[in-house]
Amino acid sequence: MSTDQDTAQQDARREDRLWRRWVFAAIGSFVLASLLLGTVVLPLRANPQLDPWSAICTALGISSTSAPRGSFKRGAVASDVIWNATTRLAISKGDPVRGYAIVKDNCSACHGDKGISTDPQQFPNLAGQPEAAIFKQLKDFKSGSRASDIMGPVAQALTDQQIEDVSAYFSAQTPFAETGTSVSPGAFELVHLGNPSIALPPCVACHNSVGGGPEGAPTLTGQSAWYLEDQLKKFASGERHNDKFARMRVIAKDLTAEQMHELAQHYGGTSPP
Amino acid sequence: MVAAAAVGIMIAVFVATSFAMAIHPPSHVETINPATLSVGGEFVEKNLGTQVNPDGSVTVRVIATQFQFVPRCIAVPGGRPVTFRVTSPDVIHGFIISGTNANTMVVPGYVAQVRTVFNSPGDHIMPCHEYCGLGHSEMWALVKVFDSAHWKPDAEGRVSCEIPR
Amino acid sequence: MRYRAEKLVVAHMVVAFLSLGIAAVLGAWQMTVRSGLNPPFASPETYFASVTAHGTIMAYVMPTLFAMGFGYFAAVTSLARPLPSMRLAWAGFWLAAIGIVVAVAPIASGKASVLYTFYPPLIGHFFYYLGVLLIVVGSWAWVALMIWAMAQWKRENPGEPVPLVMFATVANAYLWLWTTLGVGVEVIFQLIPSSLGWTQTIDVGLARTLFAWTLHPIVYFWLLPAYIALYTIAPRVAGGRLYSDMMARISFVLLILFSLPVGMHHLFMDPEHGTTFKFLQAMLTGIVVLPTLLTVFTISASMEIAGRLRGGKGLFGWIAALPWDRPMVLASGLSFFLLGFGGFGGVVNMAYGMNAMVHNTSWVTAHFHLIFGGSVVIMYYAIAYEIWPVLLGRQHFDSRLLRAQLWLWAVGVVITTFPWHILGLLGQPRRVATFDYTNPAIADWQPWTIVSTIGGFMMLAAALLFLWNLASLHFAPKVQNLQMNYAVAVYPPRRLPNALNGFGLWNAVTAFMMLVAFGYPIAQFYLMDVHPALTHRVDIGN
Repeated sequence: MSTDQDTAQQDARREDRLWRRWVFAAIGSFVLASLLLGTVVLPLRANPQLDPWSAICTALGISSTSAPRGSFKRGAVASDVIWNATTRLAISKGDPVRGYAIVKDNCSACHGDKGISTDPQQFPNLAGQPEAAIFKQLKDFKSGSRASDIMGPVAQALTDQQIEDVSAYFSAQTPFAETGTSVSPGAFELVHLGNPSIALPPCVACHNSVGGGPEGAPTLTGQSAWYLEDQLKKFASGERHNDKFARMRVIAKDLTAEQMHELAQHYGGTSPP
Repeated sequence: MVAAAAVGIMIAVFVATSFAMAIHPPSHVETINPATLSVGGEFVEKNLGTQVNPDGSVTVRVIATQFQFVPRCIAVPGGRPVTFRVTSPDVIHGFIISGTNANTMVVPGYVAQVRTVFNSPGDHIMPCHEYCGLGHSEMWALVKVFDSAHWKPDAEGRVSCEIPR
Repeated sequence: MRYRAEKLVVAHMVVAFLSLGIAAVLGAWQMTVRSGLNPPFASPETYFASVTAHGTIMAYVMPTLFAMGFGYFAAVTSLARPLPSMRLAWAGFWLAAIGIVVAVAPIASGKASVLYTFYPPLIGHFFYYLGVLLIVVGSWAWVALMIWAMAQWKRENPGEPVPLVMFATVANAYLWLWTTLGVGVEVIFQLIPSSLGWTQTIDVGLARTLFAWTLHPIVYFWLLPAYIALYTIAPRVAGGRLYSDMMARISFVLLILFSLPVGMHHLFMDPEHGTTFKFLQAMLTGIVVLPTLLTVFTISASMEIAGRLRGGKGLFGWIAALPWDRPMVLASGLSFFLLGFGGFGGVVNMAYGMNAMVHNTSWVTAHFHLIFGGSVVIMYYAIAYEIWPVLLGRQHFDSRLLRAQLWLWAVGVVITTFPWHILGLLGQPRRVATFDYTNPAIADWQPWTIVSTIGGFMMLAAALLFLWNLASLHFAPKVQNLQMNYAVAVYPPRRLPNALNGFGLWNAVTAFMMLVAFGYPIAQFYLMDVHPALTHRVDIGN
């Protein structure tokens, strides 16, 4: 009968209303109580030195308090290069064709027309290096963060756009194929496993084509062994100091001379005397 | 009923201790530009490490980066509050100072701040405990706690140490 | 089984369990690496690729496919009708299957070692995120079908109580829908554009918060099928009745409501959130213990009924009288035992004062392996053993082998995870491939890690034995007309309020709670002066 159905429906609706009210009341009051505790009561208790408004804002994360300011010790910074979106996009817009025009007159005498060094005992290979790596070193030569009697003036003569183009050119070249022939187990372990006992990460953690390591880490495979060993020594002594946060300096200091030699051979192929 | 009571007790304890002991998780919401950390501001290389401030408080500034903590050896005094301020220029890291409740995530773009007191002298390892890339396993620092006899800040209030080799 | 859904369910289960087997092999290998035992192929590249694969399979592939398959089974058998659309169901399955293949390829080549928690600004290969997205979209087909099936049934049976197993399955479906919103937004709007090189920076705080939205309720999505079995299958197998149908429904509702707005407890130690919302979500996390305690009570009461019906006397005599030789009963007992410990660990994590001692140490890994592996997956095994005969139309299992497998798994979980808890308290960090155990500061970690590894191999053996058990039924004799029966309540409901027969009210409450719990925490990233971080592409290097 319709009236029975109506009553049943009314009952059902009343029941639904009751459920709604009680559920929202219960949950609402719990949530409100928690928010009150979390926004007002506990922050006030935890920060007695602040006025109530600041304590509440701190709890919400709106204003940061007690950020020590004052004079900071400065000194020279390792490198002026900033890795942000602007830099990355600028590097990616480098033009290899324009880059070659610069390379053939300014770079190829030492680094070769195709980025393979004309004298690996003095000059590094640049072919196939990541663009960001070449970019960073040229910028550091230009600013003096990395000191070099030869490269300093060369880099200073280049504009930022030209640096980006040169980086794009060398990066696109085929890397030096002949890699290390020595299979010193010590070097192999350092390269792939690092040394956990002295908190030394494996070389491949940063110097790798996959893995998400730091921006600007150069490729070591196929690099001149002389150059590699020389740079490791310079990092260890601090003579080279354009590595951000001194990471390579710390790592190089942890390597013995023999390990540096073995690593250079492992990566570079031809071995220095 | 019993279940509700059990949950009620649990929550009550949590609230009471949060109130009485003012326990709260590290939640210092302070933003910072990760790209410019090395070139200017509070976290340049020369400014990292332990600093005794003019008012006697101790601040330790650390950079967590792929794959080192900078500095790797952190000197702290025993028995006094020490405030760690840590940030990252690259990816997410995190650390726990073993044997203590100093534990925080380090998120690029934010300064993490943790305040703790070291009760007794000795060494604590401080591993990176958040996956940060292939070198995560080897990312450790050492925290050396000095008693007051051996605590010797230099003229600028800085204290450093070396990891023994 | 009628309604021709056998192939569909078997397809889901086979994919779920085969992938579990693969992930178990990877897990055991990973433990060997961490123990300093120098297994072959060990290096950071392989280790972290393995961790990514193990996590992706165990978190995204296996439980999702299992829940889908079990859900289809429950819908068809409890509602006694075919699914609203077999085409949609198969489309969902194939989408998920393709997604699995697409996601695994870059992981295997080391181009997606970002772990299943993704870790922006580390960005993996595009195919990895695409694959995971396809799996999720495929599962949404299942969600739609569950909701649709229940709606169809209610239309044709007005005023009737929806069978509990279907009500709970649809609860899980809604839970999953809400759950996937967080990671869905993160993947579609942040990670995929980064992986394609369309954006160079990523807001890490926002990404972590969106992921945290998903990270807690997803474990309840995994848990609910186990609870469904505890409520609707175990009492019947034990020979008893479900103590209270209404409490069961209330528990499932509470599980949805309080598993969603609590994800921030994974961000307690993060600097991008203030204490207010960490506190609120910690309080809400406390409440989510309630439905589990209710479940423990209701199921224990149901089992007590079964025990006493079988002649058990005295305060605890009913426990011994239970038919422990039945795998479902054995699994339920083992699951409860392990739930006690796993739940305790969870409560420790929720109290952020204690959380500070254990965050990101092995304690966390131990906790979720114990609760997921120990309490949940053991019920997945038991469910499979229950429904496999119905699906295949064959009987019988050698029940000794089934019980042996369940015991081996449970003991393996204990031996794996209990030392891990200790290691966490000793400060061992997570996700570390190699330790220098010659360092006196950590030398005492190695023995525990080795014990844990032994447990890991027991778990691997149990997983392989499970696969063997299922496969062996293919050679058993065929039987006609095997039915699936569900537990009957002591007082079967005749009429239920809409609130316990549908989800309109609960979705509204959930929306309110998510707004309160996550509204400001997410909005703050648009109000603050944030500095997004540069992406680190794992697939192309830098």
